[in-house]
Amino acid sequence: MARLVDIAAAFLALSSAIALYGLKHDTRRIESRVQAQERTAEKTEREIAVLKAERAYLGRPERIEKLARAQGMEPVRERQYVRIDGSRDDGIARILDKPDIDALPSDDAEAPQSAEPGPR
Amino acid sequence: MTATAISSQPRQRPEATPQARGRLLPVALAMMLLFAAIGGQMLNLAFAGRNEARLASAEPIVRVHARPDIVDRNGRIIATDVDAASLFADPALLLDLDEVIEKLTLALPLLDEAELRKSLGDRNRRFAWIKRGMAPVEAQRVHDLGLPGLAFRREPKRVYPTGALTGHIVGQVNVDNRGQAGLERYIDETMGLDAVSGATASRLKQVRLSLDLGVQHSVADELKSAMTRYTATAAAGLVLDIRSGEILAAVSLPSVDSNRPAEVLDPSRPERLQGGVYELGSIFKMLTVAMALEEGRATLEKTYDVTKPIEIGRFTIKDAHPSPVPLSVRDIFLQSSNVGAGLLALEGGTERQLMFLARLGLTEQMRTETGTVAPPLLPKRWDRIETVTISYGHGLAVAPMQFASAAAALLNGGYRVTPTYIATETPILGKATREAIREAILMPATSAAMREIMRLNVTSRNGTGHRADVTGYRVGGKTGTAEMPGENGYQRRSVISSFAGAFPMDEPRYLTLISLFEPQPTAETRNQITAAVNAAPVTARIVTRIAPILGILPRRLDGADAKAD
Repeated sequence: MARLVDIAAAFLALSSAIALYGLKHDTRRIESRVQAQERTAEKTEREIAVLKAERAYLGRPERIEKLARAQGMEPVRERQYVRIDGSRDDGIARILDKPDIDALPSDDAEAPQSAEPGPR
Repeated sequence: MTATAISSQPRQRPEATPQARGRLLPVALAMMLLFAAIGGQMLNLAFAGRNEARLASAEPIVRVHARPDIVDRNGRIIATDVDAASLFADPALLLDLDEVIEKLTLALPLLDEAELRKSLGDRNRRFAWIKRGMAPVEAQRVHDLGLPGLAFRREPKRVYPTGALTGHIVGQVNVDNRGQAGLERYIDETMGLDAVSGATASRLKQVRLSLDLGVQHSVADELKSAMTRYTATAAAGLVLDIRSGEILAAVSLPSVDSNRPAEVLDPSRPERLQGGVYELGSIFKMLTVAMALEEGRATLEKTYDVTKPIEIGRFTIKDAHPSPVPLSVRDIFLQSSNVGAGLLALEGGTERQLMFLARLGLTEQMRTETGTVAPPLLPKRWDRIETVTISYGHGLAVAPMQFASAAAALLNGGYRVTPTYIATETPILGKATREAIREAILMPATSAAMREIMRLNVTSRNGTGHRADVTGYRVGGKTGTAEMPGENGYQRRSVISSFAGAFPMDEPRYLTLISLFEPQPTAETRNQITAAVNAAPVTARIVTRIAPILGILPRRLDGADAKAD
């Protein structure tokens, strides 16, 4: 009986040693994977930083201004502002009156006018 | 007993019983497995373990610093760290010093050969920097040489995408990425840095400035064209939020690019808004008039006899175009009468003037996040004649930034503001609490009167500032043309012409201060060099561009419309 216990204990000791070894091995493998991923993350972060700097460089105002002016754009002028509560003719007022999608002014000339035109 | 028995007999190899053989087999098997496992692990270490082994190799222990990003108030990047290669050598591993030096100086022409020979020639050293913060193309060139003993290290390198637009404000860093000047230095001093040993991105929270890059660019662009138009030697301009003290734009031309450290140190490109003090001329009359109103000595209607010059000792103060009739305080301001300002100041006296200027913070040294502001240059003796000259802006030199801080109090209802480059975060305190704890230095009535006459100076036909008017944006302000001191007293043709403006004048939000240095007469200015013909129209151009960015809604007719914004 004692002999059987000895054998079982030896077997258990051996198998747990093997299991432990396997676990340790796995842990190291996972650790190295974590490290690799951390390195990748850091590298990606660095690359993102470079891209952000590049975007900021491309978006610097003096460059954008040249491009915008070449497109015929210029700073907003005072007369380009439209008062929402001003003229009732200007479409914007109608959107405000009736926030209904059907009532939105359409580019299509044939589109029906707003059901409730309001005072003109 | 047994031991004796065994030792007394000659050793005999016992016959292995089948039972014993049966036991030996598993033991042998177990041993084999064990050795196989050890062998396998050795192979594994030999091949798979390479990466870890390399990581542990002798990397140079050099501390570099990762810095937080600097962004404008809308989150646009002004300064950031990027990954850059730095080249170093292990002199002990170099095979042929002459070959290395020859090839390196060919690949990197800016290297100093003598310096390189000195640092690489010492075989006892195991580490020597060759070049830090290299451009990728340079690094590739050196890499292609394939020289043993050279290696790269990744380090953070500071870059400034906006370059010259913000150079005077952000300053610069040294080769270890430590702040040397401007806001970069402020970050080191107040927030500290991440010490890292590689090109690690900073974990520090980004620093959000009060600057608006759009506004900054508009001001810089208009000042640049003004410098060309009027052949000015330099120009400076700032936009200040008069409620919070936030600086929306601060431009000093000629500019410097933080990416080029040599420019930052160039004495011919000084920062003029807070790095230098100037006599600012008639814009000081804002202070003189405010002082008279604040002390209750005068109202805007009270008249003074400005028909005769002021004579003090051997000095005579007179106006360029003397008025034939006495003028009210309002008209003294609109016509920018030196005699009138002198009379207002004399009425209060020297001591009161000094106290008033001190209350507005114009006699003490000020500082902002970019460093100390050049201290005001006070007259050696402050007597009646100095009282008169200071009343119209001569005899007391201050930095434009410091003047702007004082002028803000004249317009915002009378409380002190401290100019800041850092964006004010959403306040924890409610509006009422903030208003209760702010430091009032002037009566609201004084501020209201100043708003009125500054707006009038732009709308009135008599006003010196009418060229600053912009339809819809209700600009107000005061011109100032100050002769610059030369070797033989003041020079008539060398002036600093300034315009201190604000908008929208019914509820002023932003203060603009523009100074042109030594503008020349042109056909457009009818051969004049006064602020009324150059600094005022430049302000108008600037306001036209920045008001939409700042969200100020235009009004068609002054006062005709109800609340538009």
